[in-house]
Amino acid sequence: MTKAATLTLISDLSKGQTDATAIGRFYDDVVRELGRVDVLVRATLIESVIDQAGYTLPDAVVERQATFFDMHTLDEVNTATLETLGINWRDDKGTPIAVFTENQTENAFSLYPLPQSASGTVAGGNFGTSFPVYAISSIHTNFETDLPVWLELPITFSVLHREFIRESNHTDTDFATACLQMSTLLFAILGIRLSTPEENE
Amino acid sequence: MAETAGTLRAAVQRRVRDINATYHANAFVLDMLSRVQRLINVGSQTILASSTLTTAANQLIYTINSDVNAAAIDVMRVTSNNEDLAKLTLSELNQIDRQWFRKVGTRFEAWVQLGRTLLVLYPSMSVADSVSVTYSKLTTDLGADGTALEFSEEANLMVMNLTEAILLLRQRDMSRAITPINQFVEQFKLDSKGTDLRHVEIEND
Repeated sequence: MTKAATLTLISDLSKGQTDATAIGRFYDDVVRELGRVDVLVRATLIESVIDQAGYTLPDAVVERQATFFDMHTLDEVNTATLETLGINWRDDKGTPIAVFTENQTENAFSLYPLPQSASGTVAGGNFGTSFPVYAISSIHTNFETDLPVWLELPITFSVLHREFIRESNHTDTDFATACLQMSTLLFAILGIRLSTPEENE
Repeated sequence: MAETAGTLRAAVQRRVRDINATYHANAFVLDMLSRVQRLINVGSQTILASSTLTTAANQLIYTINSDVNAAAIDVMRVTSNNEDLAKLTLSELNQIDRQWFRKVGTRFEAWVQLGRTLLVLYPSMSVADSVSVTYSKLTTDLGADGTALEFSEEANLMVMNLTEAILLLRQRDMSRAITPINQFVEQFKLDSKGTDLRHVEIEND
């Protein structure tokens, strides 16, 4: 279901009291939070380059669950562990066995050691016969706006909570509280536990 | 005669004292019933269906709602040549085989569901083949009064209770919504297969 369809439902359930700009922003917030739980999982292929440690996943990626170089599952390590290998560990070359993310921008990660084999060009996201050797792959949760229809109701009530709890000419804390409880219940039916804005503060 | 969506719609409208659809239009109530039924089936995995998944050579990751079936949600069982494949988690598969990502074998041995979107069949095969996948399905859209219901009578009570609560919230009648919500929570605990609703607290005022 599209964002527009969900925003229409949100407006219907509030009898048209919502602010279109605000609920659009709250919708994005809820969907991004949804990306942090194990629901919308995707796999992405990245082309590897000889002697290049750093790579970046697309903006839509929220959390990596597993990373692979060719067929190998890479271990998540920190740089303190790699320091124990010697001061020149950043120059080590070979088949990557580990991945680290410290002090890097969002969705960026580095391989250890530096790959010595480059993959061919990756063709889309097909994990079939066009999957080239030496490619880097990631399984990750994803930020998506075109969501399964069964997620619409809990998202709707989560957005309604945020919209009616904020200071505005239609603030209604009782309704907002009830919407939060309904959203929590509906997500719980799906086996999903999302943190509330209050918990995030 | 089997119950239809129209029977549920009328019953819910009676419960919220809106038999003439003055506040909640018939189409809106049907839409809510449809959404609630679908949501409950995702959680309770009551209505199941099966499809044949044609597998490609050397491919072990498939998208559930496109490769398996557009109505597929959670995979319950995978069989190959009438034999059940083992259900694993991603961490179990990583422990069993650190090179599972490109493993090619002579028969499928296990499957892993990743989130609600991906299905891994381990190992891949060097030739195209097929498996049978049983899954919880997206229930039929209750788009018209005459649409037949897929749930049992007891499950339909859950659908009605939750829909009633949603309509009462729309009316801003929060205090009256407590009863159907509590009834639903009690019913769902009994009928679900493991979903834990204990952290949901319903206020009494």
